[in-house]
Amino acid sequence: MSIRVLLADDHAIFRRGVRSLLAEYSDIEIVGEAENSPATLRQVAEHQPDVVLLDVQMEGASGIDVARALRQNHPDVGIIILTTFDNDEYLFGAIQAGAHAYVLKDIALQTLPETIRSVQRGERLISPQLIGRVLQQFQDLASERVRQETGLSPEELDMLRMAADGATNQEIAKRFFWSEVTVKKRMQEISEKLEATNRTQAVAIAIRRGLI
Amino acid sequence: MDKIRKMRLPLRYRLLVGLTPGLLFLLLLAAIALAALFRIQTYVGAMSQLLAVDVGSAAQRAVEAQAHAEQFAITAFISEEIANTGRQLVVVIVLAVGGGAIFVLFFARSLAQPLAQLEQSAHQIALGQDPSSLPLHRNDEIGSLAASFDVMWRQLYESHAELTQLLAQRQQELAILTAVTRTVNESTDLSSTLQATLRQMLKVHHGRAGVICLVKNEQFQRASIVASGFEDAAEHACCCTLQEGIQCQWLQRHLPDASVQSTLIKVHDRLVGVLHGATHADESCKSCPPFIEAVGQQLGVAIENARLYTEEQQQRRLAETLRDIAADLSHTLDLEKVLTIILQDIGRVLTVDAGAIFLMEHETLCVKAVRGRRELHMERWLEYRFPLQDARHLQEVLISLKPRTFCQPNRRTLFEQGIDRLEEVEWCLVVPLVSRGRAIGLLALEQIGHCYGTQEELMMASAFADHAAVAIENARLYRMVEEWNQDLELQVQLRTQELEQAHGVLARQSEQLRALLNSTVDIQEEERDRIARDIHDGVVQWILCAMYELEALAVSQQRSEEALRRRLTAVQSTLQHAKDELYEVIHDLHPPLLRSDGLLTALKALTTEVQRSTPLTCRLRLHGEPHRLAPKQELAVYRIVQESIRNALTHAHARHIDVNVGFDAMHVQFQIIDDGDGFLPDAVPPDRLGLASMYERAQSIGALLRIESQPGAGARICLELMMSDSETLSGEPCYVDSRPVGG
Repeated sequence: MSIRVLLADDHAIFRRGVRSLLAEYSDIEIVGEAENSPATLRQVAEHQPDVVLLDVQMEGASGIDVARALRQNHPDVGIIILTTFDNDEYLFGAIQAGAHAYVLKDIALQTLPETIRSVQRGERLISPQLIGRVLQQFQDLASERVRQETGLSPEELDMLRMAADGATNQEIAKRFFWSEVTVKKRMQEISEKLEATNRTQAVAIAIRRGLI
Repeated sequence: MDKIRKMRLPLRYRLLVGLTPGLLFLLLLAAIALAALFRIQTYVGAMSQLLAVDVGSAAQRAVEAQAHAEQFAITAFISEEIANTGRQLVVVIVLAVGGGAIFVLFFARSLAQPLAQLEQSAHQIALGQDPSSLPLHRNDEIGSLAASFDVMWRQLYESHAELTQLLAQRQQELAILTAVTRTVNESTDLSSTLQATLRQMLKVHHGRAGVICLVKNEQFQRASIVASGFEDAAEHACCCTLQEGIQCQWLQRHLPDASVQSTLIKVHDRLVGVLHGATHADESCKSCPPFIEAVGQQLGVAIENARLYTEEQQQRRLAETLRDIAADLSHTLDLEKVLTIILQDIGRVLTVDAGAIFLMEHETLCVKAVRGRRELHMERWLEYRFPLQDARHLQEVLISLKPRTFCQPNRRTLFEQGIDRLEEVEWCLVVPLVSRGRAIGLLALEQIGHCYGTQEELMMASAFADHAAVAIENARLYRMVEEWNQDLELQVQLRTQELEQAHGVLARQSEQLRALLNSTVDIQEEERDRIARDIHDGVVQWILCAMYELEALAVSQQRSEEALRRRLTAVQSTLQHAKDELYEVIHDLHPPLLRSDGLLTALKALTTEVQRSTPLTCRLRLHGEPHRLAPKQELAVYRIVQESIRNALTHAHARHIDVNVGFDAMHVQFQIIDDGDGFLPDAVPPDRLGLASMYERAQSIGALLRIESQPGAGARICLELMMSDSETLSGEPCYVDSRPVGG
């Protein structure tokens, strides 16, 4: 039984290209095309496809909004965001909206059939070029969480980074326009926050916990 | 006295001691002589008897016994005689001593007693008592000494009494002089000082009258008089001329029985007055002249003090008055008021019946203010002018810078023309108003019946005039400054107005510029967005399509050559489309025809394209002789036409668009007329429909853009461009094929 795919994109030309490509795969069947958001929702309801290929920029609501709506109304439908744009807003928006895959139009053309199949199996995918950004985001979120847990201020993190790079108290003081006494005092505060006994241990803990 | 007392005893005893041993010695000598005389007589008798016995030798032996007996008898006799002589000698000595002592006692007493009397008398005299007794009855030297002593103490008493009297007199004089000195030192009122001095002076020597005359106007004038017994006459007392001087006989005439003493009162060898004092003639008064002279000296001091005091008071009053006047004058800087105040205040330093102020204006004295003597109608003088060459005397005052008095001046000499009744001014003091060493005018003062002339008056007038001149100069300067200020203020106002206008223009221009900049940025952003969108929606999609088609071809199972060729041709066609889209974008970025072939050709291409690619009809019409515009202008016009057509196409749903272009010598006019929905140009926000950018573009090339539209009545957009010669490239070939163009 072939995978039923709905193609939602406001560019007819592009739809033509995708259609001609997917036509080569016998296990994938395009059951419908939509050129805007309302049509997409309507056609999903009508055809109950397995997978929806969604463009982000469409007339009416954006593809992200459509994905969110589909996740609510049709949780079984696999959603692949197929877009030209690789900006973070779309990427993380799509992930948050519950899209199964986020792939770029120009890169996905060779992997598109496999992506459709993976999504149909319930897997989640991201274009390999975008994985680094997602991981970075994850790291930022994680260290932010640790930072909030430890109660370190961004300024204190900067101090720790400098200390990790081998900066002396004098250099840190020069950088922040403080006195060395202040730096020493704040270093002690940082050590207390990280439950370290000295600044070397504080730096080590910070590195270990991914703070810097 | 004690010494005298102590010497009383030694004197008496000395007499006793001196006389007694002498007497005793004499007596002893006498006694010894007597005794010796008796013994010698006795010896002589015994010897004679002895001698008589020796004479009979037979009998000598009988006789020798007898002689021895007789010798015994004689010796016994002699011894007895000697004893008797000794007793007699003792008695004599005792009697001599007792008698001598008594004698010496009486002698000493007779010598010492009168001396003691003299001593006692002297002692009494020393105590100021009359001597009780003097040994005047004696005829000896002591008596004579006592008589001399008597004469001496009487004379001494007389001279003592005289000295005491003299001393009392001197003391009185001294007391009076002291009182006079005190009066002189303490009193500041000369007349009361003089009166008090005279009264004091008359207390001594039974003075009857005293007169003080002071030098005034080269003459002695009575300043003070005190008299007893001839008050009536004294009332008419007068002094005399300086020439008569001290020889003034007035008092003698009125008091013939009096002795008159006079002294000249001088201060630093300057005669300031004369003092006469009259005493009773019968009283010879030796000390009167020096006393009066001393009083005269004190009076000199008093007069000098009074003069200095009066002078100081005058100076102070003048200074105070001048200070008040200066304060008055400093309250205003208005020239008219200053002049009025000057004429008011001059009355505070001088008695003035009328005053006038003349100020120099271009070698002419101009009456600026007058005051006083209503009967003269002095107000008529105001603004009267006296050319300097016609007022010689005034000119002299102006040159000499010194006040000058014209008593009973002749009008013709003072003011030689101009004032009808000025001859009535008879007494006149003209004071120059000097400021910074230069006469700026004159102050003329009149006091009826008085000729100003004393040193004080001139000094006061000068001092006042100095103040007045400063005030006038200040007021003039102030007026000048004020005029300058007004002038300056006017200029500042004008400049401010101009600046405000310029500022307004600048602000408007700046506002326009800012809006232009903003809208330019917006337009650029908008344009970029539009181009990006165009590329994304056009070229990118075509290329993506081609990529997908090629991928499809790559994975295709079909191996039939024909099928592959057909599909490759399809991909080729897709890429062709992509290329076309790309060209369109490039064309849109800068229409190539515009630069190469000019505005009209570009517009023709535009309308043709619109005609071709859209359902509406679009025509270009040309009027007049076309020529090329500056590249910047051509691009702006092209964009405006393009935007207008786009609006008509996308918003107004027009079916016909006419683009009319008209050239004449000075103008180029473009009209874009559509038959669309129309709109209210004022109601449309400027950022909509690209209207703002159209206006900005028009303004940037100095063109006038008008948009005429009404809902349901289509729109007419007119762009009118004035051409300067430099922008007119006449003779430039125009590449418009036909007219009307387009279709």
